[in-house]
Amino acid sequence: MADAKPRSAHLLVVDDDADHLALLERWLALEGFSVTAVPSGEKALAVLESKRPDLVITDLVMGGIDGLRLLREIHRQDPVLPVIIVSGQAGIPEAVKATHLGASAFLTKPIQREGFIAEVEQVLADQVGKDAHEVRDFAPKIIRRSQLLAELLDRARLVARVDTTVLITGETGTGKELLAEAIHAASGRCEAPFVAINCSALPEELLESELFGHEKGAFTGAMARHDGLFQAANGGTLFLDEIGDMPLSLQAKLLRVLQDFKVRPVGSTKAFPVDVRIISATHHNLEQLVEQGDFREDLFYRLSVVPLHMPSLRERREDIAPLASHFLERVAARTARPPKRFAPDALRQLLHADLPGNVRQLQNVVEQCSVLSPSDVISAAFTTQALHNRPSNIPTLDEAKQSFERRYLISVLRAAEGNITTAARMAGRNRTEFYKLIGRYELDPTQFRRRKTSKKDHAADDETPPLMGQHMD
Amino acid sequence: MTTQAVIPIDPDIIDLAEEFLRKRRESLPRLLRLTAEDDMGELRRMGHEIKGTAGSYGFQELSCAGAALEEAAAAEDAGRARDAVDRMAAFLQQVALVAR
Repeated sequence: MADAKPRSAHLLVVDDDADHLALLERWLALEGFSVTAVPSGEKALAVLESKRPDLVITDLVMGGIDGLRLLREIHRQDPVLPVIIVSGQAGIPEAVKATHLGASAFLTKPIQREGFIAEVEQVLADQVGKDAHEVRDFAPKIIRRSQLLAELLDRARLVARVDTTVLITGETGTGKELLAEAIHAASGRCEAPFVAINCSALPEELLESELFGHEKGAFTGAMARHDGLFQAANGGTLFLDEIGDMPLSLQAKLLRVLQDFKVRPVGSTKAFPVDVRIISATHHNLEQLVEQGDFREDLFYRLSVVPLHMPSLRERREDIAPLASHFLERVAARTARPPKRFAPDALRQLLHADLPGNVRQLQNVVEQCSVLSPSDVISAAFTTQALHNRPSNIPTLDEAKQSFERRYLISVLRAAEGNITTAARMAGRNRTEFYKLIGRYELDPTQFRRRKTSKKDHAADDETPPLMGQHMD
Repeated sequence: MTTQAVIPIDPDIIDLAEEFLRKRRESLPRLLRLTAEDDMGELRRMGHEIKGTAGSYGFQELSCAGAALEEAAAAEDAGRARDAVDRMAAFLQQVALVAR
């Protein structure tokens, strides 16, 4: 048993088969790891109460607390503690479940010594890292457990130090702006402002003057000189969100700024030097936009010196559980109450849910559940509702039209005080059509008539309202 | 003297491997009793455990016998379960370890 160079990592190994436990323990000890070996999930939890290991390796099938439950318990307490699951069965469902629940690796017995040690070292390298503190300090707002995100953040962390333009791609709601902020915060520009603008939110002229500023009287309504965001971000970082939606004419202007780092406000003859790092983001495929001629190729290359891709939540489901806990804690902090938690089947639902809106959608779902659930443990009924609510939150066009039409008819009827002739005239329809319309929405015109002061309601004919005889055909 | 099946083993774990085989030999009477009693649940569990652990130690033959026991017990086939236990017994009688 030579060559055991002592290592700092401390490992907790759990297996109810004493012989297998002894084997794994020996292999790890031979590598110089400090190892605690326990024969059950219960014992493992007891050990975890007093000492945090750097990695947990647990058998899947055990009497009492099994591997998956142990995994959940561990991550409830410490979402970033890596766990390797060892199973006697190469069952795909178990492996998938374990990965979804955030297992760092899933190994199947028989275990080979070399492969096992390599896996342990890999997981430790990923999670503990050579510069663990730096890794953990980078992007503290981004919850990560998945390998995919860890790798991306590693790259982003390195990029942060280099003063280069960065293009962040990724679906809506994946946290592109958070990443941009993190890069700024870890850069040499962190003391200067981080200024963000959504290029798809403003019409072309407004976007131009927002970005580059304008002189007084440069256009109608330009009452005063405006510096623009380039100036505001001077010395810092300008985050151009949804850059793919920037109109071509502005793309040309942006390209000029990136070429000589001078900004000319709208209506000005003078250009001002600016020192700004550009981070841009888009959910579009910019290369495709370039091919279609909707995005300038030269600008694309300027912006994407370093491309970073923010994975969708589908691609990093192991982050769902820690994200959900994080959002629950945030709600708890806002409401100054202890955080609620998800019942196992509710969490399972979240883990498997289709979340096209990514982290933002998950946040909405979690917050809704947390607010609506009367109990501290959120049951699956709430997750079901919140997850299924989403499509109906966005009605179909027909539903939206109908809803509008109904509200419109009500306001017309109200204004006409239930008089059909008046109401029809207001709506620009003849009486027959108007009757049909209100019939479709089961609106009763008599209900809109102003009541007399007397307690009795004089139900009257449509054409002769009880009050204000101001209308006749 | 019986024919020996000599199995080369990682010298770092040879003591553990010997201990593992000793315990398996000790558990043979229990396995035979469980087969006689038709306790398929427990046989299945033990077969599964032997399959995995013997495999990790590098005892392929014993691992296969464990798998056979697990399968036979799952199928509630007492005859095949007994065959699997016999196969284990034969292996445990013959096996000798040598440092790799």
